[in-house]
Parts: sequence; structure tokens; C-alpha cells
Amino acid sequence: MALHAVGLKTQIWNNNIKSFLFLLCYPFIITFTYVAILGIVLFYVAMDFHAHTSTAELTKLFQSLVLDYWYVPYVLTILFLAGMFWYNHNRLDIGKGMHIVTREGKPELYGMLENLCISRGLPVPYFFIQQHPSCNAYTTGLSPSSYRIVVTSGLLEKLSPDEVECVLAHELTHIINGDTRLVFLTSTVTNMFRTLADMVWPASPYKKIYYKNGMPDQISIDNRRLRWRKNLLRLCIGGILKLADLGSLFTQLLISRKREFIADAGAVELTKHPRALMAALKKVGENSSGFADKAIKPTLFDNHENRWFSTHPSIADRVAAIARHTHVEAEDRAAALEREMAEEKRVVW
Amino acid sequence: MSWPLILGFVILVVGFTIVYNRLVALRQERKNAFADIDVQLKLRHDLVPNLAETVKKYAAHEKTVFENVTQARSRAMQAQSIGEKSQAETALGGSLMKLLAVAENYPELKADKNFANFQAQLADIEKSVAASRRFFNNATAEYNSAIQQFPALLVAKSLGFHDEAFFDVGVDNRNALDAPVAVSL
Repeated sequence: MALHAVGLKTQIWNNNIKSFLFLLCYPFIITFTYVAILGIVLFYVAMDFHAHTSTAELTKLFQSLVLDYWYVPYVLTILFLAGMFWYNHNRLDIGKGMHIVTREGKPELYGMLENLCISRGLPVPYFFIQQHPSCNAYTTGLSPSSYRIVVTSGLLEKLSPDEVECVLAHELTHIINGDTRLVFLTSTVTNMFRTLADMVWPASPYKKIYYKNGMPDQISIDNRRLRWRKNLLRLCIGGILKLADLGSLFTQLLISRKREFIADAGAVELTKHPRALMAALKKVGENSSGFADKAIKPTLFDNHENRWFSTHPSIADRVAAIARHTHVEAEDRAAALEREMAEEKRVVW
Repeated sequence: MSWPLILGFVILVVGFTIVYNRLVALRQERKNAFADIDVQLKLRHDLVPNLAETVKKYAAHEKTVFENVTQARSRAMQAQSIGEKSQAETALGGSLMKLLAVAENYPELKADKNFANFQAQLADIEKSVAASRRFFNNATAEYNSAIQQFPALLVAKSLGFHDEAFFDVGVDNRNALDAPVAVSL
């Protein structure tokens, strides 16, 4: 923002500012949730125990609770996050189908990662290969003792060594920039709201109507009715928490998309080979489906999802961003012409 | 002093500092990229004597070619400024190409394993040199654009950030490079 994006470094700075601004959504969401829940509870309680408190006194109580105890939800959130971090930060879960890469076992592959780490002065993270036919890679880990990069066997088969190096550089940039911790932060807050919302207003177990002797069972019909008058307070609080969950989900996705651009730029800085990264992106874009575990989604190299709900920008956007900031063509003119003729967008006489 | 005035002044100072620090970072990034090119160029300088010795074993009488290569190498190792380095490295590249063209006439040389090895190493180094030069040029373009765009322009002009040169071949050299390689039979 202080400088317009005209190259790699300025693009990285600007995206960092944007992701930081998106992070500011979280205090907004937390405070909004706190105020709304407090207001509903007070209003409901006042409705029940009618008129022992006048409206003016109620408002004063509400105001004092909000202003004097504004820090309560933040303290709770931070305690929750700290607890989850402490529990998880040294965990190194090795799933089945994962093989570790060592210098003796796969010297060229390990050497690629090691050279990248040496150029940045970092210790080499754990490096695993996961047996899976699709092309993808991800990185997780909350502390230097548990950082790990996982690459699928499909990726190693389909991509050339230069392109694999670019994928490794992209994942290493995620580690350097602390994206694994950022993803942990955002997804834990989202999970926290989702769990709370589920506790207060469970995803309905009462959807089915049970039939007895061909006639619908009256009790299950009764259960299907929301009974909103009886459950008003619970539903309102549950609704607010679900809104908070949705809001934090969107914030997480917005942040994650910006971090992907930053990681791509960082990969170009490490390898100085933008063409290989663009080729890798295209190949992975065609082959990356079928490898998604919810926890690791945001740090995958690519993730095909619906545009609004995706953790990654589209491949075309990423390739265009690299092309723009490294002054390299995104696509050969000859290849582009072939593609347009195949899609019948252009007639050649 | 009214507080809006003070606030405005503080914002101005903070903004100025941020822009200045970023321009310094861009300048440093460019210097770093330049030093990275030197790393690759040094590898090439180290390779040249080995390559020349291998060719000399089979083609000892091609004196002019060897002299050109040795002279170009020493000139390249002594060059200081970016302009000098660009020219010297381009000249070294040209003389290396002439050396390899000469090698085409000697089948025993082409069959020699060491020669093939050095040729492969040279190809790799040339690719890395090209990549780091491109990166350096991108860093230079970024730095030049940043100091010329509006808010940063004021900071740059007042604190001595100037436009910097690219790693460019230059028009005279381009004519020399475009000339066809003269091979003596």
C-alpha cells in the first residue's frame, strides 16, 4: 500500500498488509458475538422475570457488562488457542502410506530441499512422501521441531525435477512466513465457533420421520417442529454462533488465498525459475483432485473447490500473478493459439 | 498545538519512514540479486581453464581462440561496475561459443568424456546465469518503478535514490553478437 505492486517484493508486502487487515475481522466477530449474546440473554431474562428491572436499568447493566468485561471473550479465545497449541505443537503424526525422505534414501530429492533451506539459513524440515496417485503437496507443523512437508508420489512421477523444486520452494515459503501457524489460528477459531454452535443448536437429529405400520409416527413429527417458542433463547444464541462460524470461515478463506499468492512469489524468489512454477501449477491443477483431508486443506498446493469457498485462488489467477510480477509470459503464443483453436474461440483462415 | 495537527504530523512521519525503509529494502534486494549473479559467474570463470585445457589437448594450434578466451576471462574477472561486467561477461560468453564451435571440427575431442562433462556443466551454469540475470533485472525494474511512482517519488528524490542500470548487453555488443560465428577451416 505504501508502494504499488510492481514486482515480487512489493506484491508480497501488499498481500501481507491485506492478510493482516483481514485478521482484524476476528476482533470484530468476537466482540459482535459477545455483545449480541449478552444482549439476547439479558433481554430474554428480563422478559421472563418481568418488570423487576426497568428498561433504563437494564440498558445500564448491559452497557457496563459490555464495556467493563469486553476482554472476557478474548481471554477465553486466547486460552483456548493456547491450550490447542500446547497440545499440538510437538505432534508429528505420520499417517499410513507416508514414507520419510532421507539423504541416504533419496539423495537428489533430499538435496533439492536441503539446498533451498541452506540458501535461507533454515534447518531442513521433516520430509515425507505420501503414496497417492494425485499430484499435491502440503505442509504442517507448529514449531521447528514438528515442521513437515508432505509430497504425494503422484507429484514426483508427473512433474520434472525443476517443477518439483518449485513446489518444495512454495511449501518452504509457507513455513518461512509462518503460514502453518496462521492457518492453525484461523481454523481453530472457526472450529471453536462451530463446536459452540453445535453444542447450543445441534445440527438437527430430528430430520427423519419414522413410520409405524404405514403411518407417520406422531412423536417424530413433533420432534421435527423446531418448537421455536420453547427454544427461543437457545436458537437465537445458536444462530449468532453459527453466524460467527460463517464469518470466521470466510475470513480464514480470504486470508488463505492471499497467503497462497505470497507463497508463489516466495517460491520464485527462492528458485528464480518462474516458468517451472507456472508449469508445475498447470500440471497440478489438472491432477490434484481426490486428496483432501479437512485439517490440511488450506496448506495444500492446490485445492479445487467452489470459488467463494475455496482456500486457494484459481490456477489461472496464480499463473497470471506470477507472469505479471516476473515479466514472463504465462503461455506461449503458439500454445495459446492451439488452445483457442481447440476451444473454437478463434477462427484461423 | 491542536491534536489533529499533531496527529497529521505523526502520520506523515510514520508514512515517510515506512516508504523509506521499503525503498532501502528494494535497493538491498537488487544488490543481493547482483551478488547472486557473481556466484554463478565465478563458477563459469572456474570452469573456463579446465575446458580450455581439454580442448588444447586435441586442437593445440588454434591459438587465437585460446588467447581470446583467456583474455576475455581475465577481463571479466577484473571488471568492476555493472556496465563493465555486462560487457566483459558477454565477451567471455562469445569467446566460449567460438571455442565450442572450434571443437566441432575435432571428432576425438567431441568423443572425449571430460569434454562432454565440461560442456554439460557449462550448459547448466549458463542456465543459472540467465536465471539470476533475469531475477536481477526484475529486481532493478521493481526498484526503478518504486522510486518513480508518486508518494515514494518524494522520499526518493529527497534522500538520494537514483535509477539503476540493468544487466544489459548494450547496442554495440548486440551488433557484435548478431554477427555470424567465423569458423576457420
